[in-house]
Amino acid sequence: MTRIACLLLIALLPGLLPAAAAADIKAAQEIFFEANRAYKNQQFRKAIDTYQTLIADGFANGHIFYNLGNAYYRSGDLGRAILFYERARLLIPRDEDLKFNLAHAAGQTLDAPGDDRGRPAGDFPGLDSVNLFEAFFVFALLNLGFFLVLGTRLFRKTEWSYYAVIFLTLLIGIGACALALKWYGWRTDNRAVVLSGELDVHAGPDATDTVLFKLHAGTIVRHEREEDAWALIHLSPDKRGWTAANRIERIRTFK
Amino acid sequence: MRVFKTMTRVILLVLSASAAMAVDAPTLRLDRQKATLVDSVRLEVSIAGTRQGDAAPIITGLEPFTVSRGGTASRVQIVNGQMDATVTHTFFLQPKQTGTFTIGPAQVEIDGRSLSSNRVTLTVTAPSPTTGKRRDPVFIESELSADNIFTAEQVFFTLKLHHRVHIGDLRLGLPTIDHITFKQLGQPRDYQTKIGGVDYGVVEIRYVLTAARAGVYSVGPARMSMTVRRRKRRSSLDGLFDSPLFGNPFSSRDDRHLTVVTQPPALTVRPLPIKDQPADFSGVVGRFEMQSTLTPNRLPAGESATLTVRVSGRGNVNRLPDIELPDTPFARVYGDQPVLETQDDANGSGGSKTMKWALVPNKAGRFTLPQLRLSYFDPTTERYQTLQTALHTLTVLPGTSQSAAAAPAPPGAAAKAPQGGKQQIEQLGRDILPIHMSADNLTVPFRSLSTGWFFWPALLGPPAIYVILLGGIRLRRQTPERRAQARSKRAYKSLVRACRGNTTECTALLETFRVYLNDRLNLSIGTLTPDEAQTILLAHGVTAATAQKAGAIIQQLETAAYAGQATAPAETAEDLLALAGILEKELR
Repeated sequence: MTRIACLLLIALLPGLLPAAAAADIKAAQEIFFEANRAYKNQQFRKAIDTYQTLIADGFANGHIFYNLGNAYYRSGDLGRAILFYERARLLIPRDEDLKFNLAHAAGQTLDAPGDDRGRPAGDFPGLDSVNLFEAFFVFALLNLGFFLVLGTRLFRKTEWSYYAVIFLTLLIGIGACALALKWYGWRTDNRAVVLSGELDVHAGPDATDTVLFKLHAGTIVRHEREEDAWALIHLSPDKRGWTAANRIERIRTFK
Repeated sequence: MRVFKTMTRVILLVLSASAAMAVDAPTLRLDRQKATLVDSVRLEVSIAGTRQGDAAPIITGLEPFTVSRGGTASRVQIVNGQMDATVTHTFFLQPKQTGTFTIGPAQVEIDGRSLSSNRVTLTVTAPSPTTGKRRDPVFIESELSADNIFTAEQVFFTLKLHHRVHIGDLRLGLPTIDHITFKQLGQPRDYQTKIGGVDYGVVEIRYVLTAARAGVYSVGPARMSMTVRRRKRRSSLDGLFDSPLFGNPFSSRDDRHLTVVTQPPALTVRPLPIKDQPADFSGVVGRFEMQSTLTPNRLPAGESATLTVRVSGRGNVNRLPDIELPDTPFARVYGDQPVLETQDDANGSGGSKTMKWALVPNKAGRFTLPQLRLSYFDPTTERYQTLQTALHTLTVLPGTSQSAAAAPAPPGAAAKAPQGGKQQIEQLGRDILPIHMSADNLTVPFRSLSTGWFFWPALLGPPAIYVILLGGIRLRRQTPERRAQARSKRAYKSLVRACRGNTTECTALLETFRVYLNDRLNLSIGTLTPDEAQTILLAHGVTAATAQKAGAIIQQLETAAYAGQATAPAETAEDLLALAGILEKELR
């Protein structure tokens, strides 16, 4: 009997897997709608918790981060609002709503923005408007096209395929550089957001060290490293110091 | 020629820069505000933006003084093509009477324009009784502007070095007194005075002195060391030893080191009174004032207003506290970093502290901001004073529907006058856009492509498939004919390598030629006889002469081998190579 059940399970497994995934999505949609309802009813705390549940369930995407940013903004938490808008920007960089809300929230921060030099992706035209996955997708397409044309030349060497190979070689070279820059920018993105209130930045990792300067909610800093419960940050080459690690949060924490 | 070009460029640069200069109003300046009847006061009139030194200023208010000209100096500076020129006229004033005199304005006419300067005030007093006495060639005096002060109150401490001989290498040693600090005010001043009918040069240095603790102090002595330079009587032999490089070893100068000290004046420092001391007093002593502004004072909910409070005055500004704005129920408050500016001038040490807060109201209505207070002690009136901000009212208009804060409208967002019949759109409020509601937003496009199992196949799949295809095709193309062709192509190269590799043994050469023929003609002959070789070559279209020649070489090698000769003649390998060359041509 058990053997029959096992055989049945093995036979039905390919069919069950998509059904399970579909059930997950349906459940996630329910949670998503519930969070949206809470937001519309101005229950921002509940909306935040529900969106966070979705993220914990693996549905972390730009739109959820955007909605979460809105919920934090409405609940008066400017620091976390900017944090989630920035996270959303990594995934949906061309979203006009996001650009508008992020600019609006950033306009309310008290500190002048820091030095943003050293971002390789920023040097490549248009690379800021695609996310890493899209950059990879375009590269994968070019890769496929290039080897497809090269493959056809194994059987028939036509003139068009000769020029197509040259053209695609150029394109794939540019695509590889762009993807490498995008990937490097993604991996080395050490930006962090000041979460709330006024943040003292000390000369050393101790509360008794001299306070060098103060930062306010929503300011984006560069996170260098952490020691105990202290983080070394910098805003610009001349604005550098230690602060409590739990008062800031890295933007890129997900893979 | 190059020098001429460079000079032309410089002249053009100067001309173009001077054309762009704008003449500023002249500035009238005295080297001090107080003097005695026997002092000489330096007066300067500076005109920035001109190089015309011939336009002498006309200065009013100089009647109580004997005036002598001190010359005119002009300064020209060109930085990045911008010329900065200043002409300074110097005068020396000798007061004729005591009193307070207003000097100025100085009027200058430049390019047909009449320019007026500021006014300055000079107080002239009678000289002190000691001034009339004849004194040493070098002596020093110190004085305090007050001898009874409160803690943290500022008092001026002035050192005056009088000299009627040439001095140099001045070094000053201030007294070190516990709880007393000195802060120099400006640069030392140089002027002339008359004591007992004798002209003295005066070097005057001013300090502001503060005491941190009450008590009776003796402020001194201050020491000043210097080198006094006196000229010896010249002898008639001096000229004999003068050298332009090393001077005169028998110099006529007699330098000697001198140190003079002050008579320390007494200073009584009283503690600040306890009576009526405000609870929020933070130790600020001096004279201060407070200004506050709220801009804008009428705005929609969600926008930002700025409250600015500036405390300024003379005294220990570094003790000015960071005033805290209490929580307001109608707005969120963001405090800015206070800005402290200190300033030292002839009237003492002072400065200002500016504090700013951004207020973002979250509901409509009319609200009054709490008044901010600051207490200080005024040593002039010997009373504590309390400053407070004006009563500011913030009118908040209904803003957006949500209670959240919003950013201040950008500069220029307000309605503007119609242009070309169209009206500028007025920005009435600022808020964020709504959330994304669509269920499609739960997926991340292309994410699965670049993460998980799909990443490497997507990246390496196409090249891997291409390589497999290429290998398969190449493998498929390896037919027996192609292999035979390849073997045939390699045959001649192998023979050449063997023959040039110093192979001289008869059997080895015979074997090499057999392998060559096998490979070249795709045969598999075990033993090659001269007749067989001729037959095979003739069958493959080789001429009879060549076939015969091949047979002869094989015959020659076999004979040598059977006759017991281990090595063949040296020319045999070359003959074999030549034969192979002919065969290659004829077999092609």
